[in-house]
Amino acid sequence: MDDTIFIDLATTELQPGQQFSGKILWALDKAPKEVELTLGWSTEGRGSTDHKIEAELSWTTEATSGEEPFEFTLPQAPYSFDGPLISLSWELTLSVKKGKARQTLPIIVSPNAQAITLTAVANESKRSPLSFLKRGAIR
Amino acid sequence: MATFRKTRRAHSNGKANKKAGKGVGLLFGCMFFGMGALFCWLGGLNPLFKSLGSKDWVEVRCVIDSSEVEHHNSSDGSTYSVEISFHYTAQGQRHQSDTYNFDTGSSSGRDGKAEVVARYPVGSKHPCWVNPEDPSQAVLSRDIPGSVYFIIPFTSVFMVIGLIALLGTAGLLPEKWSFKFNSRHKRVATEAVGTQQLKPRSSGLGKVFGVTFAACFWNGIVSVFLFQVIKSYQNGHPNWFLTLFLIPFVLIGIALIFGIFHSLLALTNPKIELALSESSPALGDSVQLEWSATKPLTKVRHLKITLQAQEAATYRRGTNSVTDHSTFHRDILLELDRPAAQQRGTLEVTIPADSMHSFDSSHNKIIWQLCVDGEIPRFPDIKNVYPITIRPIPLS
Repeated sequence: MDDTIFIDLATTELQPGQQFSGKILWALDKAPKEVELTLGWSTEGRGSTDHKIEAELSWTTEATSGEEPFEFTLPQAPYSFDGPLISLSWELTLSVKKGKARQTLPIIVSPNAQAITLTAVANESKRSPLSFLKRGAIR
Repeated sequence: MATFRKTRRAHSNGKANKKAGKGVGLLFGCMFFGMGALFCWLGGLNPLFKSLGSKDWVEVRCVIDSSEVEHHNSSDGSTYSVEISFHYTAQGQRHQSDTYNFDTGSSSGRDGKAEVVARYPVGSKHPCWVNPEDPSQAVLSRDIPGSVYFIIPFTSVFMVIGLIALLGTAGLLPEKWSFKFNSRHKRVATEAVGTQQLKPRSSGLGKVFGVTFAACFWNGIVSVFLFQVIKSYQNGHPNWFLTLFLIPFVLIGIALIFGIFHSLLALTNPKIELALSESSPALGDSVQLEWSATKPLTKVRHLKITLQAQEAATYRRGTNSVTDHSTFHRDILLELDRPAAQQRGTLEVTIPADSMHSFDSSHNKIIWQLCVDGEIPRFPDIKNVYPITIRPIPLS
């Protein structure tokens, strides 16, 4: 039997500060000893990756299969966003202590149900540092 | 049931940077692990194994021929070693050896070595241990050298760091390990703080000190080589290569000195003071911005106050840390030609509701700021940046 772990969530579009709940399910060849669910975010893009685990839950179990309910409360920030240089995404990650089974569920945390899109604006023309030597004083 | 959505990712140069980062990680890991392993073997494991393997060596009487503490000079300072030579008879033949123990290096601390040398005066007789398989090898002390107890753990740290870097770069570390170490994240404020006068990101005095320090540091180093060049001209053997090589460095030094005067002049400019009715507004808020100049703006040809928001992404490029910026919001709040007549005012500032709040983590930031630009002909411009915190939309 293939190892299966699963996060069951009614919706992946969540509001900042929202309390949400779901279920985790697992069906494994061997008892996992511990099942861990983390809620966190990570960045991607031009900059080096930053990541943070905001909350985590774990269940100690000897059962090879089962399901457990879970509940998290999202913090007010940061929002999921997508910009020219940086994007930030939230995810739920389910893993087991014994074995390689792992599942990641991306979620969106935003006031308007989709990641905030940032669009670059044109750069302002910059004055040369030596331009102050030019004539054109105020009379 | 859960539905899976693909989110659009920012890819700008991400793959190229990841490849370069992998190369740096592999090089770093190889260097750390390699150097650690080399010194661990040479200074730790090799003498340890030799000492442990000498337990079946045969004891004979030896006579000390010379005994002294040798002094070694290096760029890091002075080190010392015990140098004792002795002769002995083994398997019917006379042999000579100069190996005190299995420690082949030298170290600081002369006193300990002098004590050892004092125990083995010239002409004295002492037991020594001879390798039965190679009678030309003999030592006065079979003990494990004291340096082994320090070198092995010290070099092991380097090997562990290098190994983690290699495994991490090759993606062989358990995923759980890499995710356990959270990045630094400064949580954005969620409560309003009220009216506050805004502070500029850098003070004029700070710029003067910064440029002066940079100019002194740069010109201090360049002057050493410049002195060599001048001496070569005075000696009648001008060093043309060094002269040409130094030209760009001297020009940079002159520009830095010019920068000191530029920043000193900028200190005399009128300062624009800003105060927000709510210094930490939330997305979607409208706030009042009061601005006032500390001196008359008679010399200012053009004054502009802008609300700006930027992404700031920091990454490694080789051994340097680079930060790229991209502006995603710019709103000109005030634009005045010849603002001499106006020295203060109040503006309405609206923070867009559908934008991103301030964000601050180790390598990635969302920065909101008010920028004041004052164009002054034939004088350093007014250029100040006032960082502000934009909060997320308050929870209802």
